Amino acid sequence: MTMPLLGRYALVLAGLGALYVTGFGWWANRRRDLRAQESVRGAAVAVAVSLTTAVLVLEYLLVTGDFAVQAVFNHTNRALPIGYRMAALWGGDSGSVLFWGWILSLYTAWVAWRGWPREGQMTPMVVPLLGGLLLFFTGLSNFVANPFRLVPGHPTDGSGLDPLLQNVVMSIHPPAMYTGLIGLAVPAAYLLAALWVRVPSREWTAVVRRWTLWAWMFCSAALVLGGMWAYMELGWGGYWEWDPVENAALLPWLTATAFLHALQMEERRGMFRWWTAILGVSSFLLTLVGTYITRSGVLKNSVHAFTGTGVGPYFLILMGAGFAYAVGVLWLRRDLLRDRIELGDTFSKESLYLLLNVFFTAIAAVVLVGTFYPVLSQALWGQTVVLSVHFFNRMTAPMFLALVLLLGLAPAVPWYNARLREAVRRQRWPWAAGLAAGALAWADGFRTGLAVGGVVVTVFALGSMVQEYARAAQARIRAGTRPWPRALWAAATQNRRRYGGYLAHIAFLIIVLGVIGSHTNNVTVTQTVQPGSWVSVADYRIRFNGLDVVTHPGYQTTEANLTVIQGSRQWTLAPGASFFPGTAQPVADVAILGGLNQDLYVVLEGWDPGGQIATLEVFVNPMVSWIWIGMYVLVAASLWAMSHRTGPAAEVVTAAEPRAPLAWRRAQPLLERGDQA
Amino acid sequence: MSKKLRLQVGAAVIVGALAFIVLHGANRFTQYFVSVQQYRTHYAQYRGQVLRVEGTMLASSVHYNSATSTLRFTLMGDGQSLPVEYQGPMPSEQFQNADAIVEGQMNAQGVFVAQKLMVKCPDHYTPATSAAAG
Repeated sequence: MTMPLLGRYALVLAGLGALYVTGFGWWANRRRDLRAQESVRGAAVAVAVSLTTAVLVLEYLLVTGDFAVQAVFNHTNRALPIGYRMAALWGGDSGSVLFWGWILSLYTAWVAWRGWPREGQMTPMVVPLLGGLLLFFTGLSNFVANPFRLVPGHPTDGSGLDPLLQNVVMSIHPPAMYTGLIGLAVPAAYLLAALWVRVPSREWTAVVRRWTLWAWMFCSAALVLGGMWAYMELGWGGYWEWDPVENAALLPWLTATAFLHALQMEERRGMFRWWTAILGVSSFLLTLVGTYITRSGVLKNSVHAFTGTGVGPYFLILMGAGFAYAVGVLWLRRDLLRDRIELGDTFSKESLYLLLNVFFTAIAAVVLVGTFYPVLSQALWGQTVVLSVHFFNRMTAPMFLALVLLLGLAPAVPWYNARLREAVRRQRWPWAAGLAAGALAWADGFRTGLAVGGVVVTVFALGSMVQEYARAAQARIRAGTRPWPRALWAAATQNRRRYGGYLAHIAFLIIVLGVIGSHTNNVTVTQTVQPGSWVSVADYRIRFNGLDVVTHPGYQTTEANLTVIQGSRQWTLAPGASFFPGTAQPVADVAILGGLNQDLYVVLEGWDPGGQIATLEVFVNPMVSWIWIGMYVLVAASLWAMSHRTGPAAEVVTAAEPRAPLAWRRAQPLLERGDQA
Repeated sequence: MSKKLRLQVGAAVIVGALAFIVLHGANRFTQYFVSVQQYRTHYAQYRGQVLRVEGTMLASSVHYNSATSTLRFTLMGDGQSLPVEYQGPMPSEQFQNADAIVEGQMNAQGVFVAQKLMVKCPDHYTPATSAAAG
């Protein structure tokens, strides 16, 4: 049997398995047939095995370069290094669909295998729900975008990978994005199953939160990595342009972030349940909207419109079906979505959480409407109108800052009712730090209200988080743990979920500072130079030494040889432009001299082919590296929070349930009894 | 006023304010997005505006002046053409017709001065010299 045929068989098997999981799983649940349900469990694992086989076969074909296979022919060639050949798996539509399905199948198998004994009330329904999605993906792979389709003739070389994708970050960003986006399907499935089977919320919040946190971590990292790629590879000096594809990835992140916080509300207070349910479901539905945007090319103003095999419209159908199903479940179970506690005072922790939901949803709504504005305006007025970057910046920045303010206030605001004066008194140090930082920023040349106000609020929020760590450490010291680093460590390791969460807040705030900083006082200079002449930008002096041509396998790069001097330090930079045969524009090889304060970012804009004249575009971008640092901290914080409750005690769900909420529930007898009745 | 009513009024105010700023913003930060043909036929409507024009970048028309790093080319669409001038990096020698979007405005000489040039990445990358055409 040839390898491509093996891949095809694996896909067929996976499709049949998904059909079994969905159809038979549903039937077994109706009949309450335990043996049949067990067989569905096995089938879910079998689908994962089949799809793993298909992925491995495709990887094998990519690496060995079997150019008779469409996916290999379209996205690789002989000159491509092995790392990029492996990454070419998600370089095109057919490979991407297979990759999506594969990750989903791994999740489903995990739920069936590991989650089944622990969350047995929900999993018999979760697995067929995810099976329905698997059926969709394997159906696409089998009938619409089969990666193992053969190319007519006997090609001996392929087309090659899009040069823009030949970047290290670009080989991490897509899998991280997929892992995150598909991951959001799992908590949505759990949520719907829990509501349908009427599982009490304390049984499902833990598992839903863990899956959401997992997916959210990947989505967050992937968003920043996407920005990093744009910054390194596109050569326009920025990292975010509100491009439809970027927005597509941002939308589910926004609602998923709100959902993570809403789960907290569900667990602690049993409030705003409609918000929680809708946020959870829409996070998943928005991943489908995003896929539709990127795969259908409906928004032609995008640079990345990946058109082609036409898988886009199918995602729209799937989204419609998912939407209808979710609306049905939520409506039929609306009695479960009544709040357990009424909102107390207008100013309380509850109301901060409510505002958080409102602002995240509002940002998502603005981004969604803004992204689809070209389509909407075409439909309504027959005229395609595009909203500029300024629209998105102006609309969302104040709301993001409002969220930062909420984030800072929350630790000082108690449940049920709060006094503003007391909150300010408790946070006088963070406020002082924020105002001092604002003054410093003003002295440093920050002038717009948004920038200065942003620094004040963000540093205040940072101070608030640091204060929480300090308070925890102090409590430990009082209890006898010394010295203070040990006390801090003990506090942070004891309640990883809380202090991991605070660390994630700190990471987010570092990113916010990076965004504010990088939009303030950046310098751009474009200058045409001859060998030996200098360009001065900020405190950098750049000498142009001449042009070099470097030949790589498959492409050629023209590089400008530069010497950069800042104070007593000296570097050599070589920004270049790479020519890949057949591309309209050269791919920029941006030279970046990264630093904590600022990046020196040099693009080779043009040159005289005969002579030695070059045009350089030099940017000084402040604080961009803070965004990357924030991302690393964010990932660490998420892992930290997820590591809460591990070990033997976490094997079974009842034992795995956190002790603290249980103790808390016992402390609230009146409300709790009413709920359990 | 009851708490519930107060909440609902508050929510209505927030939603209303949001809708207002979005619509207001949408009016201030818009750009028309038209094809070369639309731009040519309804030019009077778009005169003096910064907008985006979509068309095909004609490979044979590309001319690059390295001294001023100015790129000149013709954008084609439905039989209409638009001369474009753009300050930016030099294109490759082996250049294929490519779908592109330019953002800018017409100058007095009837040349479209682009501040931004976006050449679309194709579905899959196809080099000009590939011998094994699928």
